[in-house]
Amino acid sequence: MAKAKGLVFPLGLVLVWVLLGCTGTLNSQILPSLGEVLETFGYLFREGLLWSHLSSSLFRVFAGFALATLVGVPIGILMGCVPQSREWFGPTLHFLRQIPPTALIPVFLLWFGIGEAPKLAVIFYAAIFPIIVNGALGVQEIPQDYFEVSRVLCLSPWKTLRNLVIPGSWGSVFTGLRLGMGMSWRAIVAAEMLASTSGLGYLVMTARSLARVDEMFVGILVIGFMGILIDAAFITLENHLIPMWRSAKRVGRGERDAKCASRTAPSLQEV
Amino acid sequence: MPSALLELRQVSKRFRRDDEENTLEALGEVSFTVQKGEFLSIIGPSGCGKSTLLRIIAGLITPSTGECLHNGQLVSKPSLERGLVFQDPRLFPWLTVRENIGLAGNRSEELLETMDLQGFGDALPHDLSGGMASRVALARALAPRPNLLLLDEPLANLDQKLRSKLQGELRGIWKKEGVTCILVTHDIEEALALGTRLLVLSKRPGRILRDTPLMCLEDREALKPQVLAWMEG
Ligand SMILES: Nc1ncnc2c1ncn2[C@@H]1O[C@H](COP(=O)(O)OP(=O)(O)O)[C@@H](O)[C@H]1O
Ligand SMILES: [Mg+2]
Repeated sequence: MAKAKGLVFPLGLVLVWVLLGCTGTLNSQILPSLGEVLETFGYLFREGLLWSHLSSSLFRVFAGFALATLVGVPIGILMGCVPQSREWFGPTLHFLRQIPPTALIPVFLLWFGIGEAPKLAVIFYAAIFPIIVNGALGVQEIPQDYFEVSRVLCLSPWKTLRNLVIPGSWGSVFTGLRLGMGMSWRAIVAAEMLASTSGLGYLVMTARSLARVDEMFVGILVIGFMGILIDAAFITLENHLIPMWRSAKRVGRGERDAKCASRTAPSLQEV
Repeated sequence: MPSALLELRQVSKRFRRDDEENTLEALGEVSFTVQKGEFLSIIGPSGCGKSTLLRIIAGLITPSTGECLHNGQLVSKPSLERGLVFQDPRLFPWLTVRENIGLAGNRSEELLETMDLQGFGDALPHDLSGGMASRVALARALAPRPNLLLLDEPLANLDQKLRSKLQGELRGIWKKEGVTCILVTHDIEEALALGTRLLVLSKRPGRILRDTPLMCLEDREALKPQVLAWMEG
């Protein structure tokens, strides 16, 4: 039911779009009709152009995201475990995450040239902060009582990490990965708009300069749908990977998302 | 001279209050010794510092004054020679019963049997009843074969029937494992039923009011009104 409600508005918009197209009042240099857009979509799809742009965007995102995961998860967990590290590095982190990754594109172009490296850097930058912050929060949210158990049982740091810190923070770490992925997807499109010869961002940008408004809309819609698909894939993965004990006291999706949203903006001390 | 298994010398604890400069005296100066093989019951009203006392003995916190010696050695940090069972089971929810018991020690199977938990080795804590969770917590503390077992009201959250059943089991384990036990509780029945010796603590800050051996059953029954009177006075 809730899902159906969410579909009413977009379907209404599509309907208005179709009706406007039927009246013939649409200027295709400003807003092409849905029919035109779908036709162009079919053309780009058949020619393999869409797939080649999509795949180069996806490849960049996954590469940069994997790098951010490898670096960000250990840093986040470390910052969660060691209050000292939060005191030393928290403010720096807080400063860095205020800078939108797109604002750094010129810098990355200057430093890393015009190949793949600056794009990977943008994605890395976009993804790593939610990963670090949620990782740290996940560890901090583990009840202190459990750490007392670990002390009484004289568990080694490694055993504590394996049996307490990682499983205890896993849900939050995963939320961070999901948010980080969303950030990188948005960032890659922006990066490709500035300096690239492939990718969805490039598709949208060149379509604009060639006055191919229909192609522009195809690109934009694909970006949006792809983002939703990636997020859905993460949620499915999460439901499979997060073990039973968690699903037992799982709250409704709405509440959970609200919680996730609040996690994207923690105060300095929380970092 | 045969030295005691555990010796406390003028141990006390003050907590700093986070809002002001002044401090809270949680535990008055207490001194006592425990011999190997004893089952010491410590009874005192809520908030008199019983948990604090056990946490000091366990090595989780350091006393503000005095010192605590276990086997003649100063207690400064937790050790596998001392087991602590918390008031709540505190099982790791993501580990199975077997994994929880095996966190420190490699005799999960044996303890599953001792604790009457056969068939629950692969269960997760949230599938357990309160009584079973308490038994798992006990097994986890026993796994490294401590010579001193500290019990912080381990049965407080259970209903009366289950409590008397587990009291019997606790007594059995004390005999079977040959482990020296210190049990703190605010329940007179429990203190009298389990201990071979009873310490009565005053209201906060807890100080020792009485130290008395518990002999035969009749003795214990007769002691009940007396203990109540001691705790009042
Ligand atoms: N870590 C702590 N910080 C401050 N006060 C504490 C702390 N632990 C216990 N206290 C206080 O010390 C007193 C004794 O606590 P506790 O040892 O838990 O009593 P009991 O176990 O006998 O009920 C209580 O007033 C409690 O609020
Ligand atoms: Mg207590």
